[in-house]
Amino acid sequence: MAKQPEKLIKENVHVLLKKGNNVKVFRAERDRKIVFDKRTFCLNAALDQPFGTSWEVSKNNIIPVRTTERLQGEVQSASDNRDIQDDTGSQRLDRDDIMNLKEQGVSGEGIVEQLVDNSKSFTNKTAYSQEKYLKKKKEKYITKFTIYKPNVRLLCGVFFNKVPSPKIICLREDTLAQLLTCTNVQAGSKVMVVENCQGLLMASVLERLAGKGTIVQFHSEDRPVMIAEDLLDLPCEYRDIALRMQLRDFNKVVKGEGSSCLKGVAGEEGDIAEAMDTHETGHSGALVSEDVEAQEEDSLTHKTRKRDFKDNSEREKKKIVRMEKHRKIKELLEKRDMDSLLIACRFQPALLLNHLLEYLAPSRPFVVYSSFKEPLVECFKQLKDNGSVVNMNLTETWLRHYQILENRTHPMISMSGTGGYILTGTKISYT
Amino acid sequence: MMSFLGHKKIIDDQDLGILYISHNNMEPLKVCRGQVTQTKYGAIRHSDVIGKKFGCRIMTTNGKGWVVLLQPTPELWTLTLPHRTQILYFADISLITLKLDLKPGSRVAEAGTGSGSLSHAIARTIVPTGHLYTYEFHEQRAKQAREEFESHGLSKVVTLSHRDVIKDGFDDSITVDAVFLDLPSPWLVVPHAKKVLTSSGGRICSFSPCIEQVQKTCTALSELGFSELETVECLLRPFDVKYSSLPEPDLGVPAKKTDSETEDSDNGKTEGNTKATKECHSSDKFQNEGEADDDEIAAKRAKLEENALPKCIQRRKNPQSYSRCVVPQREITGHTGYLTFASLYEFKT
Repeated sequence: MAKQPEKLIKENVHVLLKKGNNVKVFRAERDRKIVFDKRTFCLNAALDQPFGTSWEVSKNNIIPVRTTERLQGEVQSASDNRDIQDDTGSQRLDRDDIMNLKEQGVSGEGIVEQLVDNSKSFTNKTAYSQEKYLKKKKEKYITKFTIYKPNVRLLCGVFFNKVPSPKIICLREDTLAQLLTCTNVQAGSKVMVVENCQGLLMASVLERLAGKGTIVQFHSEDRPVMIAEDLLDLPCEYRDIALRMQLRDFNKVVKGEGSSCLKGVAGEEGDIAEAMDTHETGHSGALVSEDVEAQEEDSLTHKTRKRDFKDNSEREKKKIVRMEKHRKIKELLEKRDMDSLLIACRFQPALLLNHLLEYLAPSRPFVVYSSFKEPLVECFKQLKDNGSVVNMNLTETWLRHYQILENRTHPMISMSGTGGYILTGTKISYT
Repeated sequence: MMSFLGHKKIIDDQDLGILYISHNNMEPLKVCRGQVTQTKYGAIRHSDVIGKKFGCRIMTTNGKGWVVLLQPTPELWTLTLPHRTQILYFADISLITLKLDLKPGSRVAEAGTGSGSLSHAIARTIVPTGHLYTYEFHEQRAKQAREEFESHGLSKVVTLSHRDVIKDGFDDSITVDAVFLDLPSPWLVVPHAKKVLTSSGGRICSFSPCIEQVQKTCTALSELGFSELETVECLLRPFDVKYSSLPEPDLGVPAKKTDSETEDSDNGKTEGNTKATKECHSSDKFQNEGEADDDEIAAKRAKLEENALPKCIQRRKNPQSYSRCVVPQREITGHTGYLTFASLYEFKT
């Protein structure tokens, strides 16, 4: 296995910078200035170095951090906090002093040392409290970060920490993990995906298929959102197995030649498609999280997509490619032999589930994610009534992080209140 | 041969399936031509099942009910496997898989094997190019697990060793991308794990029920240079969706007035529901008294029937007061274990 090369930070690959809870993804480019933790710097020094290395920002450059040594040696400390006064007079340095130090080029470590020296109360603090104080100050004055290769686990954290919007689903890691596990996604599977998770669910499925099998993705935007796939630098052979089509073409492509034959049967479906149409126009760009570097790429490809620049023959060519893709999808779905169905989208799931379940083979699992319980109850009701599903379970998970420190172990003070709800089940058939 | 990997459509003789009898009632079933299995809904003849598709309804011989034979998946296996030890369940398994960065091609070491619940899930995720090395110190368990892996078609992906990793460590000739520890003293195995774990971002996870174990494991991990230490607890909270009755309170208000009152009561969706319920109550009353029988009431009645409550509910008093409610289950698993994750990055400098 050619393991070594991909473990190095090569030019133009995506890198994930992590400092505590501050995590961001960038493209590693020579001489390109990036902004992280309110500091501007280049990643030049990190190029061709291994992933997992830690760096500290010094002026506009980064220098490798070798060890994480303790700042202080033996310091006097108190056994409790009886002598700590709640006033502002304990620190002799003020803002201007610190700005001065910074301008003189004193390093972050230097500033923290000065802060400690000038703190009247530091020696009155308990050892634990001193450690906490140092940690806080270091975090503020030292920009020390580690560079990781983006992967599904880390990216999920980045996306989940974004402020959620009605248009984007931010999956928590345990939820994403369950979506993939409960649908038995594995190399060779034929999977159906509908998602609005900035491509994270798609990317995770693609990674678990590793180029073997097929994914049919129904995307509600004009173009599928592939931010996560880009940020993960998934190889082409992984991405090539995806057959993507617009959700609003579903009726036309899968159910029949023209939409007319279906209008009568399922009027509501046409309505849905139209409703989606109006929702969709023009905000696929807005789905891109603001500070993710890939945004630029996306807007670039957007420009090239602009119809005005396209000549007719090219458009014709694209149309043929699309028709071919549609034919493939129709052929595949018509076998009613798909292995997994994953839905994590911002639409009412009941109708979608009803339509797509038809193409799932019996004895195969499906999952629907929703931030709300009610739409899943609706799905539950519908499936219970038509008896096409067994093992239905509606669940949520509770994910709690712990601080593990000697004599100071306890659950974290704040925790995520919800990871959303999932409905799982296995399709069955009458014959 | 039967395999947990891949997807099989048709049931053959000697296949292992998971027999779905009713909700939360499933059992593994090996199909053997000529045999008969009894369920609470009646018997099924295996020869009737052979040649059918997995996931098809199978009528019992007395025609009173049906069951389904499902193709086994690691998740169904977790729910039905014979317990030889405490096992890991769906929520923890999922999180472990994701947070150990498992994917096709991953090489994984697991200690101990236990009942093989997690092993099946790992194997499924890392096929076809990955490999799971799993270690079990209990001889009989090791033997049983090996036989299971064999008959479940996992032998190509899983290597099981009967070995005490605390004493003897892992097989040092292997290098793995991830290590999973589920044994009483994981901190004693951390040094061994470090020897086989890739130093360019290898991942480790330890599952322990007690916080004291976690404490010791974390100390061992940081002393040995592991980074990104993180301890979490993940609990599944299942909901029941069931019909529940929430009747109108009797405030002594005469029934006839309710009709006009609803006009200016609540707004939004709930209004529709309460209104319908109230009107149905009054319509019942009208009919009993033989007073009113107009079209309006008939229409409302039809509308009610559209809601199609199950028969068992319709037979009860005030069926209209029943609706589907979501209730967390009364008693759930409150603790499985703490999951501690860490990464190993080491650089020659």
